[in-house]
Amino acid sequence: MIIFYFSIIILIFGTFVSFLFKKNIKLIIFSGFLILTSLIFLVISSINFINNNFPTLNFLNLNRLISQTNTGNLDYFSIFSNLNFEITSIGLFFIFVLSVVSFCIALYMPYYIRSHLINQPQLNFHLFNFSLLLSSIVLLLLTSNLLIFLILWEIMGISSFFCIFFDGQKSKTINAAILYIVMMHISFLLILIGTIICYNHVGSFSFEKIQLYFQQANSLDLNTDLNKVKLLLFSIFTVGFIIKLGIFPFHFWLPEAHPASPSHISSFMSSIVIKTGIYGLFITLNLIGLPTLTFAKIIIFIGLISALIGIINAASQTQIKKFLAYSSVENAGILLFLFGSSIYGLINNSFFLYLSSILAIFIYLLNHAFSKSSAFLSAGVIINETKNDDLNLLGGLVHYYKDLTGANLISSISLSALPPFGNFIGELLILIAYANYITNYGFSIIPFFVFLFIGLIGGITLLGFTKYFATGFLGKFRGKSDIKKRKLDVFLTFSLYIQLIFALIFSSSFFYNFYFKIIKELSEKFSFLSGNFILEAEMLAINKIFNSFYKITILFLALFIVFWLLYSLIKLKREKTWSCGFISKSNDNFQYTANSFVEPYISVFKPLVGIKVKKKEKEMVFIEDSYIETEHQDIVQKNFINPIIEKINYFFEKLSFIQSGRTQDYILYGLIFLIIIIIITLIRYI
Amino acid sequence: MEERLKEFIYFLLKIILIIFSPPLMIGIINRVKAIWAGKYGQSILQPFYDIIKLLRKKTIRSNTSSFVTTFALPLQFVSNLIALLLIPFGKIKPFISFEGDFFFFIGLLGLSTFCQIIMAMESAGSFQGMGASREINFSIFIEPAIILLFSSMIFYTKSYSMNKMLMEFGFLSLEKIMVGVILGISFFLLILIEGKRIPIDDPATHLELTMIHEAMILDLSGKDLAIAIYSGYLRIFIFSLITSNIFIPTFISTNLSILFLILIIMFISIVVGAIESLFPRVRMNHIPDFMLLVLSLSVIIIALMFTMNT
Repeated sequence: MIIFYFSIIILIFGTFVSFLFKKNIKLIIFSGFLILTSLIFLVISSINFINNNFPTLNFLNLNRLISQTNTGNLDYFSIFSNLNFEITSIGLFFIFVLSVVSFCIALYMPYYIRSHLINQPQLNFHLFNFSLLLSSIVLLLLTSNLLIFLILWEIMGISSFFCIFFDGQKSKTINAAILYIVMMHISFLLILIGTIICYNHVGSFSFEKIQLYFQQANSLDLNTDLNKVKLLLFSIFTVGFIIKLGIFPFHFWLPEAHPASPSHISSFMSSIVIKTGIYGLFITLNLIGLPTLTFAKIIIFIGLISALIGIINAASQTQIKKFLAYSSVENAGILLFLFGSSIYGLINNSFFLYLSSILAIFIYLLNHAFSKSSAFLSAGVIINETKNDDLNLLGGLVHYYKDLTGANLISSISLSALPPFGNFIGELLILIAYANYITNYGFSIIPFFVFLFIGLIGGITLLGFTKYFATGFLGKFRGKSDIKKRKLDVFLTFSLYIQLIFALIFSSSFFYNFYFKIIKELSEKFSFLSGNFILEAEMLAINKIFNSFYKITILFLALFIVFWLLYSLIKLKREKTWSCGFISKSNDNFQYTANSFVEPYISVFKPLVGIKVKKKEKEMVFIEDSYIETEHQDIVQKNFINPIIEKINYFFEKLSFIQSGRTQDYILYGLIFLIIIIIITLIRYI
Repeated sequence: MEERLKEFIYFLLKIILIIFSPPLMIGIINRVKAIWAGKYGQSILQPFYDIIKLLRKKTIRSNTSSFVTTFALPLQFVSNLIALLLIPFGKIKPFISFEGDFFFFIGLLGLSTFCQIIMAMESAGSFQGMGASREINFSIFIEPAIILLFSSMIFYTKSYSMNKMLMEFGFLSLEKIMVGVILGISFFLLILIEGKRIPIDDPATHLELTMIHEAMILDLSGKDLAIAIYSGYLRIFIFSLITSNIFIPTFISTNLSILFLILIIMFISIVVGAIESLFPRVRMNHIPDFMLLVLSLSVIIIALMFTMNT
């Protein structure tokens, strides 16, 4: 534990040191400290991967040290001990993901910021906020006190808000950031209410005591007061956390905030910050215990619907970052669905479903974090180099940036849930679990919807990512500005690829025993289930399945590599693309654009994608000027949020006559206020 | 010893079937079409000759294509091949099988589609883009349909590896006969859809407005084209194999099942050929109807299961 404090202090110290220097050196120093910190985190959390005996880490636990040596001289440390920080293996897992992502961001950040005009104080402020964001998340993952959790949650929200504000001159950025902070505070408010209710009942903020208190509730008898409180708390916390996770119908902040923020921040937000929502859900489950079956079903449906709406919107996007952001909505939806099915499995006593869905959460989360981070970082490179983020005006990047294209090819395969990457393995696991559920419990409505939705989501994801990769990187460049063939920075390329390699390695079956250990530790906390809670058989079954899965995957990769090597030996002759005899100089515009690629699909899903087409076309004999323009606005924002905001604005506009700007009027208001107060007190006395 | 010899013979048989049946199927289809049209027709082995011819030719590629094509073509071929290895041949076990491999199978098909699309988009032509766009847009509804079809088989056979699912689905009760017939129809439609045959797509057409698959491989030549065509043959063979596995009775011996399998695959080829001679290709805006038809058939099976078992 002390190492965590130590490294956070190093990071903050490094940030302040970097303030002393000028732009380029400042960036290098900050990245150096960030790399150092994330390496420390990486080492500590990967000790956990290598070493199966988790308690060996306990000598780092300051709390225990202090409680054992109860001397008066250690008052200095007792502040720390009261804060209840504790290392849990699930927290360490999240820190592991965080450390890899922040390591890559540290390598990437100098490149990105160097190409932006930004003055010194702004940059200082940005760096400070980033380090604050990182430290608050690390502490959030380690705390075992609800109050501290709440405070850190708020720090995280505010610092990420300021991080988005990187180029705050643009009105789009300001709008997005304000939308973000409002949504975060609704989430914060809900969690605050939950915490207050919790404290009212338990009388303590400590996780352990809350857990003990709620374990008294008998899960069979639903009508006791305590169970009602449990359900209420569970719903409040869940809504609070899924706002952070970006779940439909609260997802609309996400596709606004991601494109507005600088690339390293959108990468960090999408891979780490929104994932704290899932961590929060785990904490809720640990503290309060299981909700009812209906509740689990609702979570599953919300997750699946959110994933479907997210990917339907993603596939129709032409802005790179908006596309990736909507794809994050999809992935967050799948994560929530997996969480729901783990509860569903627990309540139905189907431990295979429980185990595989939690394992799927870990693998899916890890793979998505790394691949999405890599995709966002490369999106930043594209926007920087071409000054353009519209897929309709991109294309042919493979001829200019070969390394970038390679990284994007791999991350596209990974994110569109194709083998052998973790997103696919997560879906494979959950489908196996539901197939197992069918064989044991018969067919019911939940497995049917799961199969239908996962299939649909898979199909549309494939559409979205083929569009993204094929129109963005292949063919010819569609834009007007000249771009030059360029080899990217070594560090930059490394930061793009290392995450993908990590994603591939850590979703493989070599590490399943580690994930099982986390799940065991989580499961032991459900002490009311301990009587029949042995997961050994299920673990063996999963290991058996994945051993054969990896055998065939290795065969697959080996065959592919052999064919690939043989194939690259072929002698080629290059010719111009044959376009059925059409000779035109402007052959570049003959390509399919991103919009035309998905046109048949948009016509099917029109009500859900919220795309408006403006056309100026006449029935004409001779060619005249005509244009076509598409505009996108999220359906939830358009149909539900904007009317509410308009109503509020209307109300306040009516009140705006109060603010006349004259001092006399304001004094008059004060006078009226005093008189009203006096009258009220008089009435009370009478 | 005898057991081992038997296994070895089966192994060889499977390899021979995998290598030679896909082009032979196409040969039979073409021959049936020719006979129906009153011609003598080409040899059944013609697809082999075509592929050998293409393999000997020089490969010309568009100057807009890059390492992505070199990456995508072998990946497409290998993923189709591995998908084929997961399916049993009658009562002979597949090469590899594990519980839950049905989704791995679907993932491999998805990977192969992904490769085909990016390969087509590499040529920067309008026709290739058109074909790729049509292909990927129409295939959205295929994946849920296949998953639902498999899930009904999971329910009836109480197992979730493709090996057992396909082998143990017997037509032993009225319910199973009903479900089995719908399953057969759905998978037969999938042969036409995935094999890019009439009425969904015409492999012989060169009219730009109606091309889907042909438009995508329009710019390929030589060895590239040979591999792309062979991958297409593998795709149609995969679905024919699944369809025929459903209809093989559960009670016959292993040797007999192989005979049955070959007969059913031949029958399927003849039926496909007959359909190609009798039906015209449908209009482009009616093609999604076929995908939705398969999806609705799969939902009907699930509805049937619900009503029969509750």
